[in-house]
Amino acid sequence: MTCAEFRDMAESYQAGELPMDTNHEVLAHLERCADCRRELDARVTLRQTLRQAFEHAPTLAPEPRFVASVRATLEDHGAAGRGFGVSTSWLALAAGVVLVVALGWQYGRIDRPPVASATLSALGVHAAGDHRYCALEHALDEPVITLDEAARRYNPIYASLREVVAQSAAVREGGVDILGAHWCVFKGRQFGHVIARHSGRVVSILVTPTGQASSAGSPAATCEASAGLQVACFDAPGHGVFVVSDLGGGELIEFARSLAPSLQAYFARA
Amino acid sequence: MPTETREKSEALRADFAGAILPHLDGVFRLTMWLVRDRAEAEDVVQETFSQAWQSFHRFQPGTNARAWLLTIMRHVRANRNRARRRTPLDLDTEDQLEHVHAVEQTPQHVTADEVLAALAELPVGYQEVVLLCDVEDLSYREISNVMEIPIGTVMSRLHRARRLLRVALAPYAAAQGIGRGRAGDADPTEQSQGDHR
Repeated sequence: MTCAEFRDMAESYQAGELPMDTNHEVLAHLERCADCRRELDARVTLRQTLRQAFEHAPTLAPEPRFVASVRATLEDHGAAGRGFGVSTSWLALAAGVVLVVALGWQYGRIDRPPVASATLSALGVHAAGDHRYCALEHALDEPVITLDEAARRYNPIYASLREVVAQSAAVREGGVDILGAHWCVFKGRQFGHVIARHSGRVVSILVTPTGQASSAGSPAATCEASAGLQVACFDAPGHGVFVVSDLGGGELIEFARSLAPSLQAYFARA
Repeated sequence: MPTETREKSEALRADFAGAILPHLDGVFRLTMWLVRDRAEAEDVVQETFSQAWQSFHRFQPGTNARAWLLTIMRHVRANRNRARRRTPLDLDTEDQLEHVHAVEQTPQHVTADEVLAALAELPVGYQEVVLLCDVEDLSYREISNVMEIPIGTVMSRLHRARRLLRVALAPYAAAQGIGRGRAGDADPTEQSQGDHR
């Protein structure tokens, strides 16, 4: 793949719309081309900046009185009875939280976890999509296969993935139940996928090859949230690991932090 | 009201509260950006959520609620614009791009204000496709459904929008030295090995 071809495909790559083979070609090109890695990094950063700017711009926010009026109108449309299950005080609280976060973001007063690298952030969008369409909606285009089958076909490392996650401190000490594990493909990207339940929420632990075998492992970081889902991630040798859920951001990053040592050690040994 | 009917109605409202109401903030922000008038945005969003409630029985659980709401919002806006005989919102013109000088590199560090200012310079149709992709995180197919254009048009419009956005960001890129030869800016430990053409 040439740099010009990469630039033509970068948009679809970032959107997770490339077929699996082309995706691999892009990753292989990125592995050896520092200029294109920088360009992808810039694109991911620009996208994150745009999203955060849009989500926090005070001039675009609905006013609390408007939020209350929408709810009142909707209640009028419905039959008498309890409302929509969202109390006015809850909405006021939510509006307050949004305001505080927006102001904190604006003035840099809120301590934030580290932000993931551009490569992991780009893959994080795929991971969030896989969690949504595989773990939550069971609506993947391609059938899933067992981890044993994936180990035979693609990489022996998948065979013990469930056990490694189950034996990690995050699961043993965190009251986490493992619900299942398999190998799946979302928008051309392969994932070893362990599904768990944590604090009543479905959590996906997703492992995907990055080709960066030299990476020793990075601390857990946050990727940009995607469609209401939080994504935390970290590097392990040759792989990116993503933890996706609608758990609160703080709880999710803590879970990822306690999961990282086991998986990074496992991939380093493999 | 019979008990069974009341229970169904309450279950429906609980589903609506859980699946649809959390998108109020996001839908309002996009509407506000597109219409640039708070009163108009409030009318559009109010009508959007009313219509969503009335047709909630047609919403398919498990599909993207945000995309569904944005489709309704777009219809509401189109109807209101028709009623007021406004000009079409999309200014999708090829001519404009013919005179645009290509900017290959995306600037690394732009501020929130700079990126919003640059976005505002794009034709509305291009702004919308970028926002649906980058902020709303919709797939090409979902954008295609919301905007009622073919997937190929989504892709080409995004491609052109990125190109225009890079041009709009060029002054900030110039401030970073992009396009003027970045002497000493390259990482000496990294060697580009790609096939440049």
